[in-house]
Amino acid sequence: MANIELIEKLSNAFGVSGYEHDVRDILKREVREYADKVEVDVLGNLIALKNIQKKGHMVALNAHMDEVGLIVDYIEDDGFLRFKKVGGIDDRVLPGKRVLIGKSKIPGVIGIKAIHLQSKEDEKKAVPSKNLYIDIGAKNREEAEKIVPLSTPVVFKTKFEKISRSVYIGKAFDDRLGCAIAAELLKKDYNFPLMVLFTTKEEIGLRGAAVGTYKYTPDISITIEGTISADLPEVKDHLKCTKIKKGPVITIKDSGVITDNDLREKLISVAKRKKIPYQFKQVIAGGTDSYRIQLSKRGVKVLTVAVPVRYIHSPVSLFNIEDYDNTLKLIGEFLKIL
Amino acid sequence: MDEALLRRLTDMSAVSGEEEKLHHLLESKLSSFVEKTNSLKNGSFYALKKGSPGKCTLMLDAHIDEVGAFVTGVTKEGFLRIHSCSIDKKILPGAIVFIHGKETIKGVIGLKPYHLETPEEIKKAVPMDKLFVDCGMSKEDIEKIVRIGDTVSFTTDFLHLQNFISNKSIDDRVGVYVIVEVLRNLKRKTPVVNVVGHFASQEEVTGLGAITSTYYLKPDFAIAIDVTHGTSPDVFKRDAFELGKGPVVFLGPGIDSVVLRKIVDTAKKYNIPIQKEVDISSGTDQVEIQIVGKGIPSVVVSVAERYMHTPVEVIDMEDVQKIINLLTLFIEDLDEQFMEALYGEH
Repeated sequence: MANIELIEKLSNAFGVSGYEHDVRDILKREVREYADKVEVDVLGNLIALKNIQKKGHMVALNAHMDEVGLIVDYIEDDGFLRFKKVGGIDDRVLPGKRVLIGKSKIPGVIGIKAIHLQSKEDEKKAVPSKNLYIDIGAKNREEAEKIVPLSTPVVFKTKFEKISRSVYIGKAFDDRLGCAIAAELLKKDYNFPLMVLFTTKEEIGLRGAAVGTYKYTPDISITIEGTISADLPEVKDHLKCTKIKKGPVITIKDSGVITDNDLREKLISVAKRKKIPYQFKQVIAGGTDSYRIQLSKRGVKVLTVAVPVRYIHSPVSLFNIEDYDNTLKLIGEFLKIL
Repeated sequence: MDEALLRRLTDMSAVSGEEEKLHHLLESKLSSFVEKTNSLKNGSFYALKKGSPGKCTLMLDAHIDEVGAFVTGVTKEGFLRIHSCSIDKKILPGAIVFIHGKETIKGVIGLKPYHLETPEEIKKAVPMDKLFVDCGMSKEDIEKIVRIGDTVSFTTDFLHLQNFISNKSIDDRVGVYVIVEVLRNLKRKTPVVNVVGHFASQEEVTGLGAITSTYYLKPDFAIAIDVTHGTSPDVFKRDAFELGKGPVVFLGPGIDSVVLRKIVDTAKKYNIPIQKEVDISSGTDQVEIQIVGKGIPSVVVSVAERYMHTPVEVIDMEDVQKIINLLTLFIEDLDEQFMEALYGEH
């Protein structure tokens, strides 16, 4: 069953791409006593190894620690912060949201011109993120700069919580759900060498994963994700990508990977035998760390399994804990047959 | 300053039409320093501080309702459709909201992933009728809790920014807070006039409270305390006022000149900085109050507030303290001479 406490801690943690320290610390503490060796590499990836002395093919589980967010790139004379987006965020989710800035988690709000002052044209147009700003309540640039130096990262201020039976909301489920599953799976016993790779900088171009399997290179790698679900009103059935409450999402092909046919068939047969619901990712778009990992040295066989999540890359996303449990179970059962 | 009270006031949900949710808190806060409190059928609440000789009555008005939305439908998948006339649809995607059904539940206002939209669509605000609230429930489950017409309000998060504070519905709970504090201050010196604090219903929709309570309470003059626009990078300077530069006094054809002069003179006498807003209509309860019954001499004093009608409204508490001081001193300084001037002209 799901370790809700761990998911909560990970979801609430601060970890914009390139600033994954908090997430890494949580995961390090979580896996330390179950791993033979825990390392952090040059790009900040966290690598936990188990059974390295054992013979056999090495299996890797990987998930990324970073989340989408913002970064402060300019400060106005009157103390307002301008920002750039880190990762793919729809501009339309930004106005009117609360954020936390930097290590000391300075609170701020993303303002917008009051509706009363908008022209008919303004009302209909989305505000491009380059025109938005964060208000930290500073009175001028000097004051703001002291508290928030340029390049300080910013996350959405969203608390993890349960809103109805089996349904949770929070930020960064992409990919803290994958991190939680990978950490949980590491705690079990295996008779083959296992590597769990928590990567950095996924949202800015799969950068951590590009080097994460260089020192230790697995034979098989399973990328665990929180993936897009568009089972929303007015979305045609074949465009929903994935649906919540329909089980783990198995990727056949995305923009950078065709997952290994044999392994995928084995994974599906495990799901069938164990009566675990599953679904295929419908849209051939988006990429994951498995793209980089499959290219390591002579090549790595990869699979991608994900928990369906609505509204990823926004201030608040939503998932069903049954999907999480089934994803954990499916990968767990699959590892048993290797 | 009783920041805890302002926090409680802004944390509470009371969309227009549900103002009675605040009555209990007002009753408990006010009853120890006024002679009378009462709930009215129109959703307003009032508190009366008797003056001596108390021949005239001043009404201080602030509205207790907040902007919100209404449930207009439930989709076959269990998502709620909503509508609002007072909220900017652009702040809704990605927001968490309360839905006040049989019980209050939380939901997320979702947005379609952008890869499913055309580049043209992404540049447009999502129209209100395309938005939906996701509570993660099936149609069957949610219909046990939520009905069409139930209200939807912003979730709350009282923040201390560097110099300012932020929360939902500071518009106009800050006015409510100001009136409570002014009534509390009047303990130190009995005013010559009766002072009735009117906590008005439905300012954001119909002005019902301002119109009908004014008729019932029959004040001789009135001051509406509300918020006005604060400066930010996307707002013209002439449309907005700086936070921390003091109360904003409204000037224009709809304002009573005698009361206004007294307010401005009081500010000058006690060295309270003020800012001046000039417009035809203040867009506050004062517009309604002025034309009730035989007509009520009335003015507006405001707190400069950024991002009005959003969950992240921002104000400076120093401005709030200055308004409390200004109004307290204004009332304490009222005398027979002023009353004569007031009624000499009307």
